[in-house]
Amino acid sequence: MKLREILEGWRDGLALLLAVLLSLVLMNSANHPSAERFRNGLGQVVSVFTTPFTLIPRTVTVWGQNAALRAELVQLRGEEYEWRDALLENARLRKLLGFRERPDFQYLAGEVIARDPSMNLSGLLLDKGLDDSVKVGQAVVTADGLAGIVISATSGRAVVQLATDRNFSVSARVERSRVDGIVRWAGGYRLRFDDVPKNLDVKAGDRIVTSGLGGVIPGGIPVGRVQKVSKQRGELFQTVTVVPYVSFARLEEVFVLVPTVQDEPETVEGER
Amino acid sequence: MKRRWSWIALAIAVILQATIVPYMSLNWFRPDITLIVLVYMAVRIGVLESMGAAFAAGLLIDSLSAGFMGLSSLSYAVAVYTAGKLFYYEVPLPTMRWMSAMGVAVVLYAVIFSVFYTLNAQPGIGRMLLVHAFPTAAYTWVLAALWSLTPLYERREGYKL
Repeated sequence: MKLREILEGWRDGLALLLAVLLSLVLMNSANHPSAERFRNGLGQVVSVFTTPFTLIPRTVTVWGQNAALRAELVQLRGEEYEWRDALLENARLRKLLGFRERPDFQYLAGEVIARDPSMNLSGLLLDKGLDDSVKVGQAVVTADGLAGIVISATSGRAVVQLATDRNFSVSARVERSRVDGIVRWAGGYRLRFDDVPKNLDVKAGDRIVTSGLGGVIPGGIPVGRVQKVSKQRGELFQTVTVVPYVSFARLEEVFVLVPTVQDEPETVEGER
Repeated sequence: MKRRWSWIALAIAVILQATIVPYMSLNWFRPDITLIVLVYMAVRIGVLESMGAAFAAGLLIDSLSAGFMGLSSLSYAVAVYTAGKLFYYEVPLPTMRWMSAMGVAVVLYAVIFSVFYTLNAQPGIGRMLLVHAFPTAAYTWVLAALWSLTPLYERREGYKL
């Protein structure tokens, strides 16, 4: 039997082997700059075709949302006055105590032009990018809370890693007891609040918010509500399951938190 | 002609998967219409070409994902290859060849995707399969079954559903 005949007999199998090998090479070179460029380029091409399709569901839902949002706006305007007083008081007190000033964030509205089509909803493609001051590491939020983090940005597009991605993690705390921990994906539509020692105070129903540690993501953004706390014998940490506030499956508009006050190096009194 | 329409259908399926399909989610689970089109391609135009299509569609899907590049192309290629072979060759499957091929494809895709996605990470493979991958696979399979009952599904000569 000639080599050609053998190859033809195994044609489909060889093609499969080639596809598997190429896929494995791509998976192993995930952090390589050229792989990142390839992904961004491909993403930009696909987004050209997906953008018009996002208009269809948005048009359908916009009417109902409009009425609900107007009602919510009236209520929030009323609450805003109360919060403004508290905010000013807080700023005065922080100044008196000599606390470091927090950076301000601008809420940059972005439209979702494609969702992660793979089995696990772990990413979004936004219509904002480097040209709009969007950078890697910035927080992405909705009216309900934290949705994810920008992990890659080109001139006019940004990829958002949602909290339901396997690599997602953010520093967070329990709003009531100020216990710090790390929020990670727990599989399905649940998150975990990790690295919390067993003796610390966490209860079902507690609100988990971002802690602001690190300075990139501001503190106080709602993440989710504690669903279940379990303490295993022999373990150092408790297992805390969190239900996220954000409905990841149907995100349409999100906000990227772009810092408006850049951190400046501290000056020494004597150098002035 | 058949070939060209298959590729057009696949391109539309990938775009819909990233835009409209999320609105079809039940709780957290979305059907994978790209996989349905790919298996249909394997049945209609052959395994080799549909496997190339699966690899290309997987790359496009991975480019919109925050996960690994190559994960969907690997899962699709293996799932489509196996489903296509099962459909074509003498395998003691019941008369519902399409549903059997589709069933094998959704399960293989779910398992391969979950194994690599949860590699060296939390949550583990068991949880990923139970709370995520298998319900998604079941949803896709049901949708494929419903689609095969519509006039859009062209029955092949010699095969009976």
